[in-house]
Amino acid sequence: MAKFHSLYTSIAVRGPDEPGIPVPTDGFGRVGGAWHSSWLGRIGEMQVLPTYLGATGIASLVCGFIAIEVIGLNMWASVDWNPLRFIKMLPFLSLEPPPPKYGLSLPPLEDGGWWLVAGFFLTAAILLWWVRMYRRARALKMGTHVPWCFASAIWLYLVLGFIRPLLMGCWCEAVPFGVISHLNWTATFSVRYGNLFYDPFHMLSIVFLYGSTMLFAMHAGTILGVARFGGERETQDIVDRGTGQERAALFWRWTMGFNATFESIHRWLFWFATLTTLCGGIGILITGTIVDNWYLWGVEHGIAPEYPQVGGLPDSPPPKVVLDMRQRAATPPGASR
Amino acid sequence: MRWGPILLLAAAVGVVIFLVTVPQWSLPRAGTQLGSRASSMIQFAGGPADARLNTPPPAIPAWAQDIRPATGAFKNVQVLKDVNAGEFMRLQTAMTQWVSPKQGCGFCHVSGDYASDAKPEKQAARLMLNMTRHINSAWPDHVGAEGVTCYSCHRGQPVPAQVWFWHPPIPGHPMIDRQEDYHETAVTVRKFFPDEGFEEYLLEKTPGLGQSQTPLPTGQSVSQIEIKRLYEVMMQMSDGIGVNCGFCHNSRAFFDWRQSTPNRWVGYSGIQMTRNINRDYLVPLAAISPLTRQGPGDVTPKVGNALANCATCHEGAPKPFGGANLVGSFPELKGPDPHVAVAAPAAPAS
Amino acid sequence: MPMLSYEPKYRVSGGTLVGGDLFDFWIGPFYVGFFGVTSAFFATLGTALIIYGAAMGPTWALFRISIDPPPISYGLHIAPLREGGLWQIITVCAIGAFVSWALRQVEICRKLGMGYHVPIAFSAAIFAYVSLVVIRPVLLGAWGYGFPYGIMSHLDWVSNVGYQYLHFHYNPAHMLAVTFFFTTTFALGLHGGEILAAANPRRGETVKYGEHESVYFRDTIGYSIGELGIHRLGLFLAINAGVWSAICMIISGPFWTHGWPYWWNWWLSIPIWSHL
Repeated sequence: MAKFHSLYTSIAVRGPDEPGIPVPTDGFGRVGGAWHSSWLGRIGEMQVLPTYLGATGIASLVCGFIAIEVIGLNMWASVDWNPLRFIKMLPFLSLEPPPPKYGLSLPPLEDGGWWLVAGFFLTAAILLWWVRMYRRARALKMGTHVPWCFASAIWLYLVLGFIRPLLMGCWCEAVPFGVISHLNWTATFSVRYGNLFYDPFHMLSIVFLYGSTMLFAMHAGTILGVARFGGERETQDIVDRGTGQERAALFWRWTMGFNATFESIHRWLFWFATLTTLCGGIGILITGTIVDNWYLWGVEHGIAPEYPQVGGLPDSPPPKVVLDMRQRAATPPGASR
Repeated sequence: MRWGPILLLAAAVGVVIFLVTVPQWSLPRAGTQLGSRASSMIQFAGGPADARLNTPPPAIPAWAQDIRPATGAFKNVQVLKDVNAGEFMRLQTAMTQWVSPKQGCGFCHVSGDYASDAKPEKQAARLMLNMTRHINSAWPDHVGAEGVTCYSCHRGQPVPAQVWFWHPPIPGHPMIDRQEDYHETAVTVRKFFPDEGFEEYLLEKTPGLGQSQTPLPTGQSVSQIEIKRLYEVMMQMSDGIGVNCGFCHNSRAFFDWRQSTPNRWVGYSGIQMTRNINRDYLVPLAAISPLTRQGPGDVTPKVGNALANCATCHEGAPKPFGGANLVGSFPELKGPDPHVAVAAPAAPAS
Repeated sequence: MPMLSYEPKYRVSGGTLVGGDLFDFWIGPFYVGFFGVTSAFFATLGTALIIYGAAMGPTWALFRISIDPPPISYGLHIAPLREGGLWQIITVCAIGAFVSWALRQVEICRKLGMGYHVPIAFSAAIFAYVSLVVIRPVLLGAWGYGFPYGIMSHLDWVSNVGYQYLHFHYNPAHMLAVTFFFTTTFALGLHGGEILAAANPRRGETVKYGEHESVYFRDTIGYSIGELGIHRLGLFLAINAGVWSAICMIISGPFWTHGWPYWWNWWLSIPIWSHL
């Protein structure tokens, strides 16, 4: 007898292709014939495509393509067009923002100009994609919650690459395009500004990041747990509560004393995801502009723990050196060393 | 027969086997805690590879006693004027073993005319002797009583293994974004990373001030690039001496000396000492022997100044050779300091 | 708190793992069960000990309170209370409370006829916690390698442990874990937003169901994973985030003691391009 599998679909049912709900056409409209993947059908829907390609979607893809080509071709050119060197060096290749001497002015192409070009086209692509997400929701007469969550992510992206460099007066503050280089930027940023763990908006953003992961595990686990009762049909259960929703709610009520409904849990999910990037963007924006050293800010606001200096450390220096160290600690910066 | 899951499982097992066998892993030895219990500033002792690299050299046997002054017994002695002939010859034997064991005496000397200065390596050796005496006398804060000999850096090779080369900036193409100058042919990450950090902090006298000392901005501007170079050089320094950041710093406040360990002072004096070595000895050295240098592991020869960093002498050990006293039986290498013109305390110059 | 309108018919006996009918009842909205008793015990004891530890410490300021693990010189022994022993007992209470909570969730699942997905997912998170305070310290030979229980002090611990490896971003398992965290949050925003968008359409419109949801994602990104699929994907992403985080810490120290950038030597030495 076939058993109900919540983690994968053992018998994938292929119904008639869904051509999509009719919407006003712009650009190419609905494109692509539906094709089906039985591999995808084991975890999700079998049907891939048709999709919609309107004017903003096409423009976004073109801008995005330009950005990727600018980044990729610069990288490939820097290894003399050698494909093996390209693959070897790919994690380390990077398109860097202009050096500090140019401030906010337009630098030559090889000294940060290409970064500006790529950044411009990538930003255009992302903003056009946002418009696409918004218009598709409107065309289907649905709410626009997804684009608003996306807007929060775009906020963080713009803070990192545009707004904060503008406020700091230098493109050099922005993030490079590159695998290892963007990680180096992150580590350098934290060192420069006195350990970002002490930034309260960084703390909030991480709370929402870990919270999002926790919530998705909780929510997804719950829905899969009641999948045998049709619990995955969430919108149906929102308007017409079935035993799936009832059991899901009671599970959490009995576990932790309170529960959400099928609609309100999605509000929790939405806000945790949105607030992750919203708080993250604020935390980055106020770093360097309003606060220059987060650890010292933490000391001032009474959150930095006091650690006892451990005695008997190995290789204690001679007393003269300890004295010199104490003098350095007491001497304000800029005084003669 | 469903092949999918079997293939997936085989692929997963293959990946695990690859990850376990191909990259090098290291099992820890006992940890040493340097800070408070909460802060986890912990060092892991080095492994067998580091121990192998830090085996002290074999002792140099005593030479036959010959108390004639070296200046009397040999011609054209310029540096070792204060030793006797027996000590002189013992030191020459030692230097050959430490620097050019395969090349022998002929590395510096013209055969048949040992007084001749025809080979630039002989002049280089004089400079190196002065450097060794200077390090041992002027930098006790860093090298202590253990001191250094030629072997500390050279370890049986004419060019030490862990050196870096200054070079002028690579001219870029006018249309292509400039990349970091990674050493693509290197097979270790330590050699792969760019040298700009070394230039700024171990050759130039750039102060290592990156973090602000006030919570709110006071107009201090240090760019991302300068901090990145500082981070790079600190990372290479840590790897070069086989420690991690917690050896000297509490990372919540790198700048704060009150939260740092006493090792930070030794590191500070080490940086000053390395600048001294590079600027006053190794840069002039290139003028004496401007030949192209090919260090071991270099695929293409480098032209220019081979310069020192922390790994040159430490080779992955916090105390080179486990703290063994190298200079003990060679008092002629401990001084006098060739740089002492006026009476100056044996403290590092800022 | 009164029961939900549909609750009474679900409050049946049964599904317990341990104890039969003895603890099979509710207190208010909370289900008790044998593991509810043990959860309450461990949680209360652990919290009381944390407060006691705070009282022993220098401050009551919330962000500065810290209960510290023992110094690593104690190895795997039980340390004196003031020297980290309290931390050890609190850790035992925490593990007891978390495991009890998971097992209580299992009992509730059984009672409601649900699958065990939630307690299994929670176990992945418990594994991540246990890997930090038990597995990694045992592999390294001292309880002192665990993290302190304090709001800022645990962050200082994260910072210093990260810098033990010079540049923790180069840890390959950490890269995977971070990718999973960000992807989970991304997918969460998409899913939460989509359900709300379907259930809260424009004024005057009717609620939309599965067909609209699928069309929205096919129209925008070409593929819609479906109502069941998104939950499978979300669970997969979230659990992987936790598991790879645990792995990235287990390998840091017990299997690698140098800087993480220097682990990548093997990449540079791959024969096909090592000479390039």
